[in-house]
Amino acid sequence: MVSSTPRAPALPLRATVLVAAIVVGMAPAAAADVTLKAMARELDRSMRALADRPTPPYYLSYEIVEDRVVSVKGAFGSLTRWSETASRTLDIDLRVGDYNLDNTHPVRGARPFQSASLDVAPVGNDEALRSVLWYWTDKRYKQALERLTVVKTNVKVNVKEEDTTGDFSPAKAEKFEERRVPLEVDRAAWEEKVRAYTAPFQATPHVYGGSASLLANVETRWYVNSDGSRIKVSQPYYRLTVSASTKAEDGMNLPRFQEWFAFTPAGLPADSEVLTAVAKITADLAALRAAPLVDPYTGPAILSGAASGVFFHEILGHRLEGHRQKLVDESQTFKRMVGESVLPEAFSVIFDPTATRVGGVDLMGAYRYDNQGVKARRVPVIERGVLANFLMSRMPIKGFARSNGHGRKNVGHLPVARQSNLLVEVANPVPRAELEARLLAMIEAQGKSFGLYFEDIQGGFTTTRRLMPNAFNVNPVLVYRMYRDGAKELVRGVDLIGTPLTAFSKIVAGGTEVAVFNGICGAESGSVPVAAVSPALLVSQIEVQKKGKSQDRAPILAPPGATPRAEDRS
Amino acid sequence: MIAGRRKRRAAVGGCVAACMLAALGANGQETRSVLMKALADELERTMAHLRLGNAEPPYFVAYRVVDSAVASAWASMGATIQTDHRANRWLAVDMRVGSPTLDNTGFVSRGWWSRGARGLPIGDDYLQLRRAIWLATDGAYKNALDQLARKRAALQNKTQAEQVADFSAAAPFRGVARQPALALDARRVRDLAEQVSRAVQGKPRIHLSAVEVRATQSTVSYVNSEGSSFVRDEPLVSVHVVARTQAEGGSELVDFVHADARAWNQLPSRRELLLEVERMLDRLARRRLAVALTRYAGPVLFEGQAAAELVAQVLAPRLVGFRVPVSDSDSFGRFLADEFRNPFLDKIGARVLARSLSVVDDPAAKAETEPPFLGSYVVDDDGVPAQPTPLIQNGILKTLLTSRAPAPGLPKSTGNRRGDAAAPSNLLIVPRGGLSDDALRAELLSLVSEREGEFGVVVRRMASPRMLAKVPGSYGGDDDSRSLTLAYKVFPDGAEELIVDAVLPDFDERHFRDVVAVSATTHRYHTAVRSPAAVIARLLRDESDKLTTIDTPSLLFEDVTVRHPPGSIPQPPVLPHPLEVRP
Repeated sequence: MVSSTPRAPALPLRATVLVAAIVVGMAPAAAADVTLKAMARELDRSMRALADRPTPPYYLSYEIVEDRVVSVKGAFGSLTRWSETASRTLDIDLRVGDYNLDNTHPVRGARPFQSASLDVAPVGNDEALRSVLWYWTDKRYKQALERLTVVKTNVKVNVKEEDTTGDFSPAKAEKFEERRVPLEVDRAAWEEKVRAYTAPFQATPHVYGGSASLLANVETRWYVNSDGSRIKVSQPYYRLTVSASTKAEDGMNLPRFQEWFAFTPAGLPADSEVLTAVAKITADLAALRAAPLVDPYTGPAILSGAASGVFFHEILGHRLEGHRQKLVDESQTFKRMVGESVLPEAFSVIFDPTATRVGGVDLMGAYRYDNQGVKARRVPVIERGVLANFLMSRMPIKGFARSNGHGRKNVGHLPVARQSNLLVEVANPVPRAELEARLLAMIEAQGKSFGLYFEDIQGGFTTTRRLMPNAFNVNPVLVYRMYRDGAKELVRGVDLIGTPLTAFSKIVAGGTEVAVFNGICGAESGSVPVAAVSPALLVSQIEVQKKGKSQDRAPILAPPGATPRAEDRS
Repeated sequence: MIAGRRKRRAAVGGCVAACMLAALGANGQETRSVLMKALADELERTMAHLRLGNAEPPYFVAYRVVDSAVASAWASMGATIQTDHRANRWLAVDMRVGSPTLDNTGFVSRGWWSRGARGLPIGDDYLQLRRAIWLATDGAYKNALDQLARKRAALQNKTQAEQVADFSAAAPFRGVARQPALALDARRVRDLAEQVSRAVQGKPRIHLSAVEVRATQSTVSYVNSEGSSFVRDEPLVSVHVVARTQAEGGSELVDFVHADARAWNQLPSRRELLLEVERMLDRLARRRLAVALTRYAGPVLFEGQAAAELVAQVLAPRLVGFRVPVSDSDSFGRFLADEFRNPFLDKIGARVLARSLSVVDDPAAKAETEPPFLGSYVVDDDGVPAQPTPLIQNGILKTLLTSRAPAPGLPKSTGNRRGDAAAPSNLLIVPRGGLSDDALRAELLSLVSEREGEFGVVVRRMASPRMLAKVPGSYGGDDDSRSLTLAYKVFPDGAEELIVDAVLPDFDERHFRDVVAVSATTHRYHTAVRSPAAVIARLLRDESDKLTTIDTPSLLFEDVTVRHPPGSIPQPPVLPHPLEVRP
């Protein structure tokens, strides 16, 4: 199962998709980095020293990830916690065998392979770093030998695999260094900000959780491999989140949140913008408490840009990840559909990790190099409705021999093909008013009393394997009924569900308003930052099911300081 | 650990307890802080008004708030690996519905999950503190009602062999136990970690090493519905040094140094720390070349740290009285009973230790001694005043340590709740008729001779679960907490030969009956005791271990089996170390 944690839709943009290919980060460093040099030296030495073993490694890479983090959180006008942390972890990809068959090859009937080691890595001291690299290289080499034996046996005793394209593909050696980006956080100032942002929640007794948090981090990666790649990249992330929740009388938890993401502190919103969002969240929660529940329904709907972004990420994006066309337990939805129409002709989909901003909003899925040392690049996957490409790591698949810079992972995982910035482009976008008019016409034509408008979503998940239904579930938090007369009514309690191929066949049109969804995507190679940029969508038929709900009642006593309720005085 | 040997205590308990209690009330205004007022006011409202329809109201509520600020750093060979500097405040609500005879506690459901502690605002905003306490209380109350209903249903068709109440009475307690605040200087912490870790530079035979320096300033603020309230500081600064290598034959070897103190100036000096690290490195270097001991059965003398660690791992967990929770799943209930029932519950009045030994748990032991007692406190986490508890007298088990959650045959609290479960504080193993070190060694050789053995075994250091958790790298060999990290064959002529790769395969609490001789002097050692009560408590809530000081003489056992650890031995590195000069 793969899922996305919401990082809040950005504000809708009144523009068509304009992608600026601006590289992320700072200017290249002048001199070779000492850490990079130590890693390269140890890698070269390891390859040489192991070369005369009966089964030497044919490939080795080291990746050190330093994560410096400042976090500040407040609730209801008070500071609740802060932290400043820094950590450095090491991952090793060591391969024995050859490009065609190596120790990472899936063993049928066994759990998926995880070759990456994970340990703390001292940076800034050549001896300390090389000692740690040496220790883990030796361990991983022995483990790789052991697993290669298992792999070879497994290949022999099972039926021939359908896709015999090998386990790893060559890639060009890359050299790039940039300076470590400073983490720019005035913690004291942010403590005041989170207090100020959450103070308005004090005045709303029905808001049971009302918090704001800043999570600022700089991820610096040093990467070397035996192809000759030497890469140092440093990527800042600044995320501000405001979230609040209430509970309906029937026990349903009703969350609302908004997140802003930027590569610099200056890119975060002004206080006035945050406070406006807080006011809207508070109003939304009050309205949601009073909103009626929706029963299961099928019919026409409009998905806002943010909702559409998650819709495409879950339903389409994960199914375009290369390894899912190869692994035997995957559904391989699009494996044989290259060159065929999978979306309406007006729609094109591109994954572009080199894009950093759309309409003034920074894109979280941007990076310079992937976790296998391959340079990030723009990958059109669907061109005018026709499937053209897959997202590729260095694991080849039939018809796609090389990586296109999407081998991604979180620390401690083996990279697989993952999404970056998903960009949906529509050749003939329709203005919002026309989308709504066409929705009303569909309601009429289908004999429905209403359609649905999904304004905001919380996240979603999808299953892509064969043993489970090949379905998706997107979790909306702001949904409206749209009646035949155009009136809108806020409702609650539904999840958007379906199966991929059917869902695509129901897309009718895309709007002119585009929104950005920045989020963290979780899958087999861990959590990675992604973005989805999409226009609003008109779909002729969607299906919703009842959302799971808490059975807990609302708090028994009134909030402290509020006028006591009758039961409090009893 | 860095600690000294000391002369046997002449007396245990009384006078030092009085010294600690003098700290109470010295700063009474603390109980009227904004936080304490918010806790007290919300508690009062809860007890007066909180009730869901016709359901039972709470009969007891306690709030325990832990203010925690941490500065820590990890370094290896002079380079920083991780740093952590943070502050937060957590509230745990002890909510009881029903009656002291039968309430919602002591029950584990198959479908249960922990609600854990809840974050509170750090500052002194009275209304926001009240709001957070209110929501935590509401959730705890509803959960308690649900748990009580499930527990009653689970008990409906069962006959309990032992009728034990769920909660014991205790007199209200009010007091303040402040200690000087610990400076949480992140740079100082990092510098010390880097400096100490440099001791391992230039030593290619040490495969991995790490130093952690951790300074924590915790303050516990407590109120309950019986009128108890207290504020208690718990500063702690620790230096942990761990290193790993492989013996020539491939066995994984681990060693460690740790020092813990309540104040920076009570830590060993940097020079002393470096000296200890050098000793550790020397031990590892010698062990790399030592011979493996295949199998041995016979007399074994545990000295110093090894004796204390043995007590901490084997005896101390049995000294905690604890009732296995009721479960609504028969199979899970059986699992809990099999896994966690303490056999000492059936041994009260029986001999469990050599007649030459007595054991006292003394949370009131004076902390300012040298070496200090780090398990000392004035009041426990139930609001029960600290008091010495004689647990074993002349080998006979008298009682076990408890919180206000009674165990079979143990109806009253001994004032030992630490976090969410009972735990030892300062555990004093008091010898009678102890021998000098030379005489004890002669006794070991006498036993060897009696059996016509070739040699005896003396153990000077054992692995520590607390420190193993901090060792970088994979597991195996010394990663077994019962492994002997410094042990020798001792021959009749007094010669010693270092052994390696030896564990205690089947050592349990019954062996302590067969201690045949002890030393007159004791060794003081700080560690975390992992009792079944603590394990279950950790399942229920995430509480960190509390330090226990073990003060014990060296212990000579008549019959102990020592053997090579099970499983295969890993190969030595195939890749030479980058600093190693190869011929």
